[in-house]
Amino acid sequence: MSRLTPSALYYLGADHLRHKLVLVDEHVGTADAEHPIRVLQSSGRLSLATVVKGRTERFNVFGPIAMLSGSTATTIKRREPVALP
Amino acid sequence: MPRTSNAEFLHAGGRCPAAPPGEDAMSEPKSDSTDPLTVEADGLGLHPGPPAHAERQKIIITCGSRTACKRPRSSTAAISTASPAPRARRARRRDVRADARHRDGTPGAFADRVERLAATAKKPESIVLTAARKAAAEKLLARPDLLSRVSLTLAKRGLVGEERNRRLCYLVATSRLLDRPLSAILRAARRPGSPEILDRVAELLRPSASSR
Repeated sequence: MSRLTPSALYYLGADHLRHKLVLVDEHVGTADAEHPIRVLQSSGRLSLATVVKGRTERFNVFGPIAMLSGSTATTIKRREPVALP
Repeated sequence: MPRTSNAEFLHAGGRCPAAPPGEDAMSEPKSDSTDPLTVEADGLGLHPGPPAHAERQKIIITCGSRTACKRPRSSTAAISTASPAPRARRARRRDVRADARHRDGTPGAFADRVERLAATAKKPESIVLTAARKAAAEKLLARPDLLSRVSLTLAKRGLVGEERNRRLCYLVATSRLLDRPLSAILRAARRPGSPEILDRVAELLRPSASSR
């Protein structure tokens, strides 16, 4: 894929990413979805509660995932992983 | 000046006899009727160059036509025999149609022809995991030199060089089955877009094992 929006991962389905390799053409394409990716890598699951037609619904996505992406940036910022539960 | 037939064009070694020195843009194409990759049709000469390495499947194709002797047109495209159709399309846009003069010219027509041939080529059937294949796969997975064989397979599929990265990327891909998989960012200052190594590594996995 080329770009991930912040909410895209939450709606993929519970088992869509479980033990899968996620390939992203360029790392900059995941900038908007950096937080959910880090959570998925660190804790192995994503959970979203949102309102659908006046009722609160939960969306869960389970990992873990391996990820490979490319970058043309000369420097890549090192980020600390999200704390494990 | 009348248009020269393609046969004459090739007979002249791809050079226009009437073209002034230094204006001939064709680069050393030679007619070789025994080469199955050489195509001659409709004033278009296609001359695939030799692979840069013995194991390399990527070839540089020089594609040229001469509708006006003073300005022979030519273009090159790097086409990998292991590339899927999207990569061929990108190659066409980048290498063949980058120049507006070629948009309606024969290099573009040739690129379309390549895509049509690739689209009509027989695609590999989906692999059914029979008992015999499963046994062979388990035997392969138990080999101590598995990583070297993976690296060699990637090289045979067109990924030349990058020996260390070939192994690392496959290890990252395989780690998806662990409780704490690995992740990697491949830094390359060459060009934007999907790195070749991502495509090649993904080809070693079953389609459902990756998401892209």
